[in-house]
Amino acid sequence: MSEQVRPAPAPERVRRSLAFYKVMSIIAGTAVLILVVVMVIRYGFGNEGPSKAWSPIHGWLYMVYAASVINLGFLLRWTLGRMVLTMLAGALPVVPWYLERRVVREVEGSLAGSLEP
Amino acid sequence: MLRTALKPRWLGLFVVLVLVLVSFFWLGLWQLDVARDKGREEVVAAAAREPVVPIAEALGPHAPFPAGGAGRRVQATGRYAADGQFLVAPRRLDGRDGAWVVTPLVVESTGATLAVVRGFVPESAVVPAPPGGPVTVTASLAPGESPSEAPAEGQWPGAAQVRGAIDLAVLVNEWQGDLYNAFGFAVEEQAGGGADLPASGLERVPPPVIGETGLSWRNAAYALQWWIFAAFAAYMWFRMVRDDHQLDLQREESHV
Repeated sequence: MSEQVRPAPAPERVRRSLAFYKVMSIIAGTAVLILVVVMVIRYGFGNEGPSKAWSPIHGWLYMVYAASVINLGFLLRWTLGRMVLTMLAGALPVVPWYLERRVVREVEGSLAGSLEP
Repeated sequence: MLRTALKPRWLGLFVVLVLVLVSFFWLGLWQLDVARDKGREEVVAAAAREPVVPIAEALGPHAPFPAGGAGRRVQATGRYAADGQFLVAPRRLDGRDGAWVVTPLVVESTGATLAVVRGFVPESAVVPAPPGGPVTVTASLAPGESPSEAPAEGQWPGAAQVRGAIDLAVLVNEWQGDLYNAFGFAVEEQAGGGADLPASGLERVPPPVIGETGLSWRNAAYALQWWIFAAFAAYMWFRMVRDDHQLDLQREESHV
């Protein structure tokens, strides 16, 4: 399996997908953080109002996050394992923020230097 | 493309995909069930919050069953006619077989009769007599039932008549005086003085939810999300196979 035969994706496309993923990572990490807070309010304080309002919103946000991971992952030819792990990371609070910084650093590095084979 | 898809690697992943699809599909169905149940609960809860009105405001004797009257809670004061009491069987409550106990309530203000489902008795149980004296009944209205054949008697020793349905067309001929074109599920019974009547060996029958109950949009959205995730998984498998296929094509080209 030589990667050389595949043309590298256009840097412009990579940047756009990366920006989308970046925004969604920050949103997903925040969304789960809020979810934790409303769960504490629900099960700790017995008020299920905030949880009822936020849970479905979180569901849709997570879905968009997963879509952004798939979009970026296929473009950068990530392995299936990496895509799945990155998607699962979006279900944890705060973790997507750190992951996002790592991915952005990695991708910017390759965009600056070695996207051309 | 098919040849690429049949490679052991993609075939193996296809099995995983099918498992994911099946489980996500079922998770979606489960959430849809929850959505229905919750929609139903919301309708029941909403009906319970509706104000109770005097029966005269909801319907008069002989009048056609009002539109939107099903589930409406009314209050009527009168006396039970104990000798008109009958059972409706077979009926189930919480998974147990039994019968409804239906007693005619002669409403004081109109002199007309309302059939009241006072409660449920399990099979072979003793059917309690209705309270004597004036009672005020809060009941959830329902339209009369379609005729249904009466079951074999004998399961309720000593009980009065057993019928197959609350068929108002039959009752109007058997009971004296005017009849309401409805029956009620008793929610509460109070003695004339206002004191709550003691439990009479009957279990209240929860009024049925009639008509559209709707979905809880929250859980319906969860169901939809599970199915969209299933679509994501299918798309990922397809994309991976397609990418590999294109790679194969390029490899073949470079060999030539």
